[in-house]
Amino acid sequence: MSNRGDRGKPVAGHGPGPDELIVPGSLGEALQLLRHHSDIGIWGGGTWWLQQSPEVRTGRRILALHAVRELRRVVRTGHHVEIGATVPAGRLLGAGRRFLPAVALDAIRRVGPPPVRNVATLGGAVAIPETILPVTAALQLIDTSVELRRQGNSRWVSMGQFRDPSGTLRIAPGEVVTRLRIPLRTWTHWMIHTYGAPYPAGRPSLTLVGAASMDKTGIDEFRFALLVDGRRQIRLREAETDLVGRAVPLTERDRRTIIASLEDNPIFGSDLDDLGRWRASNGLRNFLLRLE
Amino acid sequence: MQVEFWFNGQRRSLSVIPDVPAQEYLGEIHGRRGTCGDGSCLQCAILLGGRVVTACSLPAYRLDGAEIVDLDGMHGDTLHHDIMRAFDKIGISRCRAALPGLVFLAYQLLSDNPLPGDEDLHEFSRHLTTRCVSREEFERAVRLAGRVHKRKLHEQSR
Repeated sequence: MSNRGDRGKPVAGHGPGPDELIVPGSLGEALQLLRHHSDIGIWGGGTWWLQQSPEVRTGRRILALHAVRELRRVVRTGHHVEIGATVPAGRLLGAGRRFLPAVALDAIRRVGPPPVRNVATLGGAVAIPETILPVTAALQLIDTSVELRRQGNSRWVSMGQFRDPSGTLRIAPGEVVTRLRIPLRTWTHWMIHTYGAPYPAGRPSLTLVGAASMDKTGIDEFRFALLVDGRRQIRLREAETDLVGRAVPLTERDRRTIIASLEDNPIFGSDLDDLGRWRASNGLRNFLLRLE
Repeated sequence: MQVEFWFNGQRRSLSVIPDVPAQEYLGEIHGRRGTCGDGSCLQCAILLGGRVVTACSLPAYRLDGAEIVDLDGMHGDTLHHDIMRAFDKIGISRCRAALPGLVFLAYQLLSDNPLPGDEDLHEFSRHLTTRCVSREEFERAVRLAGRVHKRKLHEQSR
């Protein structure tokens, strides 16, 4: 293991920095280290952490994974694409344009402007403990799963099960996100709207994500999710199931029923202001109107 | 920690705090100090391994072993020359603060594809927050630079 970190000299306006920075050259080295030091902070591109206050980072050991070759691969099969956790988002947009679902590409664009995307990683974006980013909500909606590895063990979990209802990551000690698996299915209709600033964590923001696929008879699949302030998510699972098989365009009654299921959600009433509620209801209505 | 990297072709060695933005250190080298801190103003844009990044959103430890180029290091590069001529013609060169970001965004776009499509251009221009250039002006300049550069490449290959 190449341990190239040390305690840096203090710079005006900053704390003393992390206790130690470790840059492993292989996944085996990283997993071995995590086995013995499960409390270590894990960084992909590091762009998110730079936005946090120095106090959050100070006095920690940091494991920087950007140099691990195994985590920088993209493998495509007939049914899905597996993306290494530290593949820069910008590279995905270039290379994945021909095969990634359009909704996934649009989600990846939300990671940041091009200079940030050239450093930020998808693995880092989905595994941020403090907040759920718009890209995470969108990837979750299209059934993305993540591979969690620790020494001698690996498992795939759907992104829906990757966090508990309060938004806390379900990662066992010593585990790290190593790959994301995005199913290669065609979504004929999709939308992503983000209001407010999702960065830094906890600021008022609202993200609406919708995806649907049609067949000859009507709606084959329908998904819709709402992400409030990067912390709480609403999924309309019952309404989503009810819509499957319905002919399009939907009747006004169908649309009202689905919007009512959104408005009945407790988070909708308690966590959104009037403008947020209007945006959410109207966003869903417009998406339903587009289905044809 | 000690990082060693190439800056405009010269080998540099610095003692850095790993989790501090690289701009803290690069700003002293290239003289551009004030930035927004979140990568949107593009003042601290640099090329890292041929891709545009903003030094304020790059942790200092990522400098280790990297090849960094700023605007001063681009002299002699034909694509950079074509971009600057197009910027002069459209009138973007007056944007002194955001110029590094504008040039490097154009550089990355045109390196990938000398004739980028509308979607590619919009994808890069939609993030521009500088008030000294409109998105349309930026896109026009990139298209012009791309056409000129492609023609040059074509003439060279004949």
